[in-house]
Amino acid sequence: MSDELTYLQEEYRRLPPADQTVERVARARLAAVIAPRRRRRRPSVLLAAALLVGLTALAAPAVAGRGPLTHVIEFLRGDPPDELVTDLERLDRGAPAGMEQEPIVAKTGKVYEARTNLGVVRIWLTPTKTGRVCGTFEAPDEKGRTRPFTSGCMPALPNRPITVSTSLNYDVGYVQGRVSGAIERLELEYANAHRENLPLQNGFFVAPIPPERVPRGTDQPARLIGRGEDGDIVHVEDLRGFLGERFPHQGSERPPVAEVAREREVVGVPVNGSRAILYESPSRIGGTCARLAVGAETWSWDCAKDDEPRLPVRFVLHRASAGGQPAVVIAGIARTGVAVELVYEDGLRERPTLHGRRFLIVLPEQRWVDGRRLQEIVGIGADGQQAIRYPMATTGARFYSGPPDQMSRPAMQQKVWRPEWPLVARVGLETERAGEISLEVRRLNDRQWAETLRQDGTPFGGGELRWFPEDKPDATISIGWLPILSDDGKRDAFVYSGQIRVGTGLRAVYRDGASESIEIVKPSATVGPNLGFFLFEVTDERREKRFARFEALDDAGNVVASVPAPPVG
Amino acid sequence: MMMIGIARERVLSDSDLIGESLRSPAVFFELFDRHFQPLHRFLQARGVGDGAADLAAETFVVAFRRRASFDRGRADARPWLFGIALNLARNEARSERRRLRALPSLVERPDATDADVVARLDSQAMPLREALAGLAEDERDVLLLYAGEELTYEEIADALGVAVGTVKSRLHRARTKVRAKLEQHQEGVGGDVG
Repeated sequence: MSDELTYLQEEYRRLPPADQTVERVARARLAAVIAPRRRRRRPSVLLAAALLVGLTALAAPAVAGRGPLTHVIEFLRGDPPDELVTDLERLDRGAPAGMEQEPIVAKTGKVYEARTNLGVVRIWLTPTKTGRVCGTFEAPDEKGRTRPFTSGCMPALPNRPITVSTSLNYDVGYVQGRVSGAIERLELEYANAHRENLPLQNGFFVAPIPPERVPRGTDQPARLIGRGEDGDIVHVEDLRGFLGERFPHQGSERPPVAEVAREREVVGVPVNGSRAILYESPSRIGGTCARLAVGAETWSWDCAKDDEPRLPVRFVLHRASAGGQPAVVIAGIARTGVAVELVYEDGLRERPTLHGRRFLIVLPEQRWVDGRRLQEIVGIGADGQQAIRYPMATTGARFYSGPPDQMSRPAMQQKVWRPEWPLVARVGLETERAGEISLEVRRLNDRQWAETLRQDGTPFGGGELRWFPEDKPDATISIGWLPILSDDGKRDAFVYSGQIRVGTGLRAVYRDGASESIEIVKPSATVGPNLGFFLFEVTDERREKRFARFEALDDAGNVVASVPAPPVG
Repeated sequence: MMMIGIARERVLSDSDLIGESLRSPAVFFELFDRHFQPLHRFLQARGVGDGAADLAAETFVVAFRRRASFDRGRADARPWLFGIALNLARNEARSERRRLRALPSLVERPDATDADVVARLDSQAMPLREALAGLAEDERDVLLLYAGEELTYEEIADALGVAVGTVKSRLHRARTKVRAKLEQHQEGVGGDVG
């Protein structure tokens, strides 16, 4: 492009956008034409809406609504919890220049609140100085306490009829989002065509999806249907693939706790000239890990402690590749004493054999056809009562047709290598079976440095780190856990990499109260809040001794911080 | 806090939206959301000053009323919307000129020239104002739609209701003038900044 055009383009793009008041006024003018019926019927609505828009704009300029047909934001009563405020205050930490959101935390308001079987769910909205809004979704944790769960920033005004996101919190899924002013009613449709209304508050919605409808293959949410004031469908948003089908093979990587060197076959089922096989290996933290393989490919892993699973029955479903053909394979686990029953559309009921607590099913092709498909997977307790019931997708179920699922790719590992920054610390550790692990620290300045982890000289992980002194003081000990896994499980190593303030002592403490000191390497120049670095391997002996936690000690030998060992310890 | 939400998008064409709005009028807001800001920017650059907001708003009102006449064979509604906006802008300029002529004793200048209109751009648009000063109105429109909004020759021709050849010749003239002005600036001669 020639100089004059480039120049004009650049200057053109520098023109300021219309501010939000201008856009709202224009929208209101359009709304007055689009909805004359409403204005005639309720002459005060337009004025009231305009007043609301104005008031809301005063309260939170970036959040205000958009006219009589739009969802005007009226914040619900209640202040945001401290945890949310802290999260928002830290939102821009480490953001690249120009990418900061700059939330106006003091203007955070609640736009959605509902009580569910599991606890209260809420959505909070925070305007930003950049004219956007940040939404934070609060959902119950495993103890039923509502806590900030996911958050993200978006345009202040919806730029799509339905904006939706999904998330999984323990066993419960959530479909949440907001609708534009064109939508007055929202319906959630499931795979088997059942529909339910989703209440809107300020244009926002939340639909908790119970555990029975979360796994792939169940009667999951399929579509959101938005209707206008007159009941006509304004927009349909496809949800298929959101929950169970989103990452069908996210569990196909070997869990570090699985001792694969001691793996054994539990059950094998012939399929298309190949075999689907369920293997089991001991877990290093107690219990067992199961691996589902079809032919030579591993399709999923599932580790369970000796104590009973949270749900009476749980399973995974794959459209696997077996002998070059697709196969529908279901593998699962049941609580002790719970039987599994399969119910088909044609009324047939059958109970697959349990091997210990595990089961493996290959659905024959005659069960893929309409009218004969799997309708329910039911868990039946020792008392004969139904313990759990998974309604399965029958109509429109994608796993009954099409090619086999794609296998997942190995996870990417970040490798950081900043040779141009001076090396200020190096920690070396000769492991039991995995050779030499080292941690190199290279420093740009006291606030920014890079850590690189190597195995026998080859980088395999690390990251660039920053310290924000104006923020709350960082923890005394910061620890990362590094499982280093070999293909056959014979050269596995489990190492902790961490930082601790120089001058603080560090020790590993075992269940019986015994302890041992850990050496801290002090860098040659100050890093962060005067940090030292260490590596610590959980050897077989330390695991036998039941390594429990790290403790930081002050000069007088007082414990000033304690970090429990993550599960592999 | 982990971010595990995933947003999904399925984009309907402008033509689809306009068609749908014939049955469900509220769908027209989606078209507004897509194009209000670019339209406002164009009108601002074109030199209608504070009137950009009013003209942009009126453009959508007119577009909504005329949506049944939109050629559904065209997926992109921008040429149509820019065309409406330009017609409104010209009508307004004519009205303003008439008003000014009717009140000669109160207004010192006899007419609003292109340079006057351009001069109404706010200070943030100063570099554009300098570059565009001296261009005829139709040259300026073509240049802004081409360089600023990146419309094709055919789309500009649609918006202005002229032949593609006319668009090309206007664009050529506009570019030559702007290039000359920029060269003058580079040589430190300075130029007419309207």
